[in-house]
Amino acid sequence: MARILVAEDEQSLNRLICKNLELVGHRPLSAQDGREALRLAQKEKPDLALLDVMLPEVDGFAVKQALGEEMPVIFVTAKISLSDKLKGLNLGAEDYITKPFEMLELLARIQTVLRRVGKNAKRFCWRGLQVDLASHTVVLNGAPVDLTPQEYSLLETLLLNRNIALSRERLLESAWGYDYMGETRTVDNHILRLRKKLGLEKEIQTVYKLGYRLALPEE
Amino acid sequence: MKQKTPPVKLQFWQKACAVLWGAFLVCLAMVCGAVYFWGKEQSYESELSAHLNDQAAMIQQLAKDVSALESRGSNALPALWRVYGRQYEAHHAALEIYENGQQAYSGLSEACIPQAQRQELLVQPGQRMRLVYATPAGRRLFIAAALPESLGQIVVVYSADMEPFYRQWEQILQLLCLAGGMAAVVYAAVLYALLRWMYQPLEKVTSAARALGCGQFSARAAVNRKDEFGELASALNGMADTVQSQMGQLQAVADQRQRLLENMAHELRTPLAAVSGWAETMRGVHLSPEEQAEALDSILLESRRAAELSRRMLELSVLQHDAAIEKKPVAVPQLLQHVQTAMLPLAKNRGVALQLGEAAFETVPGDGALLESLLGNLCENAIKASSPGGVVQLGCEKRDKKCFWVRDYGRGMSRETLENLGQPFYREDKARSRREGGAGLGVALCFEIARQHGARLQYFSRPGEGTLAMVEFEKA
Repeated sequence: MARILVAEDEQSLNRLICKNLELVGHRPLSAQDGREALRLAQKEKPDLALLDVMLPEVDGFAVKQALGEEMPVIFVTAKISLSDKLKGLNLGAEDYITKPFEMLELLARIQTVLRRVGKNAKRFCWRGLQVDLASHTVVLNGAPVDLTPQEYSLLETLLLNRNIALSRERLLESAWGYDYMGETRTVDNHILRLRKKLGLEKEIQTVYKLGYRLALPEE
Repeated sequence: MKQKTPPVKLQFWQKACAVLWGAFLVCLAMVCGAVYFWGKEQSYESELSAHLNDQAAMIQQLAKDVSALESRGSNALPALWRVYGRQYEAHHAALEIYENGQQAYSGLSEACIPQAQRQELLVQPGQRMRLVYATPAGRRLFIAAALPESLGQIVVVYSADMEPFYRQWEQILQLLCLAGGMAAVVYAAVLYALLRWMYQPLEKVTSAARALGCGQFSARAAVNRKDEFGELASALNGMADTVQSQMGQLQAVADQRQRLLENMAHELRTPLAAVSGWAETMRGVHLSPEEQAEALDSILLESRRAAELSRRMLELSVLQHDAAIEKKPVAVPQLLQHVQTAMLPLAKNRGVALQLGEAAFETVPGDGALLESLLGNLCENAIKASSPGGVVQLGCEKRDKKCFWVRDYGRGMSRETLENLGQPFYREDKARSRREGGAGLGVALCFEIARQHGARLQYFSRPGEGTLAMVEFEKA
């Protein structure tokens, strides 16, 4: 959906973030140091930049300054002190997330920032399925599909985090809100209905002891 | 409800003041009192004896004159009385003469002596009676005696005015009291000021001690005197100096430990993020077998990194804590050989040649494993600082002292880096060395090992030219 610059010098972590971005449909641009990050940003003009603060050559803060105000930046870093956080935010970063973090959390924050700057995906198409994320409407093979608001929320959450398993609790939260006191069994029922209505019996997978996953091959 | 006022607490010096002043007052009063009464007594005695002599002389003379008159058969006694009366008036004494108990002449006013005393004065022949009585006209001395022998029916009372005497002594008393009072006041003032001055330093010392007790380690007693109080103050100040510096040292050590801990936590975050991240992904994402293997590799690598880091941290901590190492003679040729063998894989990997110098001396006192670790670390850093095709030399020599050295011709270090070397977790370019697997603990460990061996580790370096690390042992 969006092109995201990933500047992290720790190889494993870099691979990890890029992998997950790809899974949910973003296009990652990987850089191992500050200089590389700036070069890539100049060349590819990404929609968002994920910067580690402790980068070789040029550190994350300096990269942000060089990137200017228009480029939305999320700092991902091991530096947890308040002063570092404030420095990052004062430089104009959209968000500041500390290691270690949950991947889903990072993805959610990326989504928030993209929405804020208007770079989030507006539509999603896969085979005969068309989802309009702005108007919350779904069309399957040309025919509109009638979904309740909860069903749609569920679908949207699965879509935005596709290929990654989501727990029932998380699904409940995102579709029904934090205050909902109901059972996670509701999620199971809704999933069943979604599968039927959209013909995604194969794609909406049950993940053992975890939850559900919408597995769509990357486009 | 009436408020109860707290009882007034007197300080020691105030009590001392009061006691000393009270004692002084008592002594003064006793002495002055004694002197006064003794003086008055003496004076009274001498006055009295003067009068007594006077009276005795008078009696004798009178007796003679009365006898003479009687032998002449004259009745001129009253006239005689008057003569004597007037004569003694001029001497400031008054006479009263009684014949057979009746008053024949009186130089005193009638109302002077009441009847009771008058009876007392009428003595028998051979007796002499004296008393002091306060008449309305003042205190007077009365000496009564009868004329001797046949004239015994005539009693002569000699009366002298004692008022001046008493008045004089009253004045003296007043003067004494006044003087004494002034002396007491002056003494009180001086005493108060003196004691206050003496004890003031004690207040300063006490408040300084209290401040120290509350944790203000910079508190001192500002006392410049050279006496016991000055000594007390300087002893306290000395103690405070020691405490402050100790606290400072402890604080510095605690700070250092805290930084170490924070750094370690910080350094562990990134490997942990990778481990948990990959585990999370493996759990929730459908990965191909190759991708799974890759994920597990990452997890393994990062776990090892974290383990290595904590191992080094522990090593550093143990070294810092533990007592002196056991020193045994370590064979130098074998030591160098071991290090080279251990470093060969890394050197080969980097395309760096590791050269070994000749063993210039046979043994060196120390712990073999630690020395291997030390030289190994130095070599590792040297190899990492070199570019492919470079050379790292490991050798030893004995000039004045035994020393080992590791030389590389690689990146070199800036002055700033040299200054900060040895601080745990310090790395010149933090991110780069993480990629190379270091966490900034290696050099700190080297310094610690050297210290434990009583050796000195020194670095000489220039950016772009390379580095020389030298470990110099103390002269055995």
